[in-house]
Amino acid sequence: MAEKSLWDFIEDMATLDVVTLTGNLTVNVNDLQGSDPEGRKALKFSGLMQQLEGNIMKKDSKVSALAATHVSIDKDTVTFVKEKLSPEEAVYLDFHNETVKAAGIARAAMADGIAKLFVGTKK
Amino acid sequence: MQPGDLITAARDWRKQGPGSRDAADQLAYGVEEVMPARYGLSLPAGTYLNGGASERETRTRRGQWHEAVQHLTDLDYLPLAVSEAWHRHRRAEQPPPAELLGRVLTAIDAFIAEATEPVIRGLPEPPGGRFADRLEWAERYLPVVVHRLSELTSFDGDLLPRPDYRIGERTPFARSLAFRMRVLFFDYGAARRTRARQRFFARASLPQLVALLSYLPPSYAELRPERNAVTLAADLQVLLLNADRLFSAYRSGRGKRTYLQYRLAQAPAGGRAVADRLRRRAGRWIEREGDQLDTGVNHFGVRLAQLFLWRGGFYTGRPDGDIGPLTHAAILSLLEQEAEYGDLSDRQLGKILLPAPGDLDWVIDLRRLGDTLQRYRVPPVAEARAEEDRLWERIRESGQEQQLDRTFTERQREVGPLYGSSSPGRLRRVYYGLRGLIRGAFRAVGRIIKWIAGAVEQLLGAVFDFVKALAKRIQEGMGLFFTGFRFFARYLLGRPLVTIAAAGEGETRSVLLTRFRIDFDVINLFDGGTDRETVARHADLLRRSQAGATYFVGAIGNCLGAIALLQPPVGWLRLAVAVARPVRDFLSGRG
Repeated sequence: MAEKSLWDFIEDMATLDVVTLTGNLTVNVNDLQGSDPEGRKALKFSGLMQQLEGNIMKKDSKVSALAATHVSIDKDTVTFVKEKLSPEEAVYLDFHNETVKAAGIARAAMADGIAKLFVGTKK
Repeated sequence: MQPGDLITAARDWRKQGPGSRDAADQLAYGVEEVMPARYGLSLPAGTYLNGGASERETRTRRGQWHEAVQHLTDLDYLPLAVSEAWHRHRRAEQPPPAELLGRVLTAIDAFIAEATEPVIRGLPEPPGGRFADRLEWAERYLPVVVHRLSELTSFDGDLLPRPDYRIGERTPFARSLAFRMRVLFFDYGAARRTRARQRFFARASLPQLVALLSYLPPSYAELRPERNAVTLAADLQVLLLNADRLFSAYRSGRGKRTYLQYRLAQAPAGGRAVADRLRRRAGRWIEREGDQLDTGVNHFGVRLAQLFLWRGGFYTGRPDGDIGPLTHAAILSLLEQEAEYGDLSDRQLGKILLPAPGDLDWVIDLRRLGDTLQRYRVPPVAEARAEEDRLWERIRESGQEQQLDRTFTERQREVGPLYGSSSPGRLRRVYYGLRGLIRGAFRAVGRIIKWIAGAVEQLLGAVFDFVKALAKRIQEGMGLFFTGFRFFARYLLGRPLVTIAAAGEGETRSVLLTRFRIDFDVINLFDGGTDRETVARHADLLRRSQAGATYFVGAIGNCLGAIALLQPPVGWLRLAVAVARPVRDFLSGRG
């Protein structure tokens, strides 16, 4: 069982999928204010996630795919992009492409370290 | 959660693979919520702990900041005045003001800019500009920075000689050599009117090196640098980098028994019983031994002895070659501790320090003192770890491990006064070389166990070393593990990275969110109204997060592996020691 899940993981590592979605994703900052033990103002992460989940789950919430990229083990890349991008959405697409590139670099850099997590220590 | 639960989670997670969400959740709960409270790890402002929050004062980073300030001062990245101001605030238990902290951050930036070692060059780029960003970066990577700085100021041989070193280069290594020359030769008497220090080793210091070689056997003469030398022989560098090697060389050149006579301004407090016992033998020994009597020229030998006493946790003054009350008390503490260790008889120990006729005069047998100090030579890494393991085994067998677990954070304050004060001209000195501290602690395990049980008051020596070594393990090991794990948890648990727009309509702000999985699949979720500036900030957040995760992932893997290999029952402190070892391997470039 353990070997199977590790094998699945290695297969997953061989491909890379990046999906970028847009929609109504806003928060009310007043509802997020908390304070730490020393009384300093800070954002409450749990409140943030609750608000976001609430917004996304609303009936009139519109979340749509802007771009999706699949990179296979042989580096073949397929990208789907929404038609007729607005100038703002073009900025988001640039970000999407940057994410694909950065995730690929990070995966290569971290592969050895992640394998070590499951195979054992060097010493 | 107990350490055993964390060990089980680490084992399960490694066995079941990345898909095991329950084990991963349990692991994250242990590391991110239980450990910070247990070890007093400080968190950046705005970070919340669910359920496990502790309102106890956090000490981990504070100790690391103090250590950083000492190293940066020793290496002349910070002027003495800043170090003194820093410790004035520490003594008053006030946090350093922003301006002072800013000076330290600038010194760290200067060190990073000069450093060439992979472990430093691999760090994500320090942010310039905003103070808050610079401070956050420094807090995050402080264990890495402090470790490298500590190698540069260690006398344990942690810093290796550089065959490619060139005199005149302006590098951390050249600062380290200049620091060592100050420790061995700085004339505190002549320096009363100036605070200027030589920052990098320079040709002007060559005559002092020639003097140093003149104290050693003739075979060392071949290391003598020429007046126009462009480099220093590697074997000569080793003498500066490794106090054990220098001490051995120095002692091997001295055949005759040498006594050093000194006078104290007043009798030191403490150690009275030992002093009285020795005093009874005084005149008899002085008369019988017709050997060489040195009345003060042997300053270099005394400096080396002070260096060893400093490293052994007995001495917290400056190495100045003069025996004053602090050095005298340190020698008495050393003798008491060695008497406890038990392989030297009182008679043998009684031949080391002799009260001379006259109430305040003393005579010390430098050769016998050297023999005793040799027992505090720094062991190799594997031997130090074996000694550390035996020390913990003895604590466990004594039934005191849980007591230590519960009370260590509070009780480490007891050694605070031993660190010494700092005032103009007298720097607070703490020795931070880990293997030296472990060896010092190992010399008197019984005394440490008595201290845990509350039955010992003599803290100089083994207890001091033990507390410092354990605090360093926690600061360095858990500090880095915790920081690295938080980066890695983004991938492990799929926690999103979130950026909120700085401005918006009323109180409403756009949100940008990215979620990674451990196989690197990514989901970005944008509010349709997100502005370009927020997108740019989010891209920067992702870059920093990925750089941090990439930097730490190997070390975190080894740390989790070390946790999984532990055999319960294990206390939290012993778990910290187990984690600290792979962290140190990583920091030293060994893992």
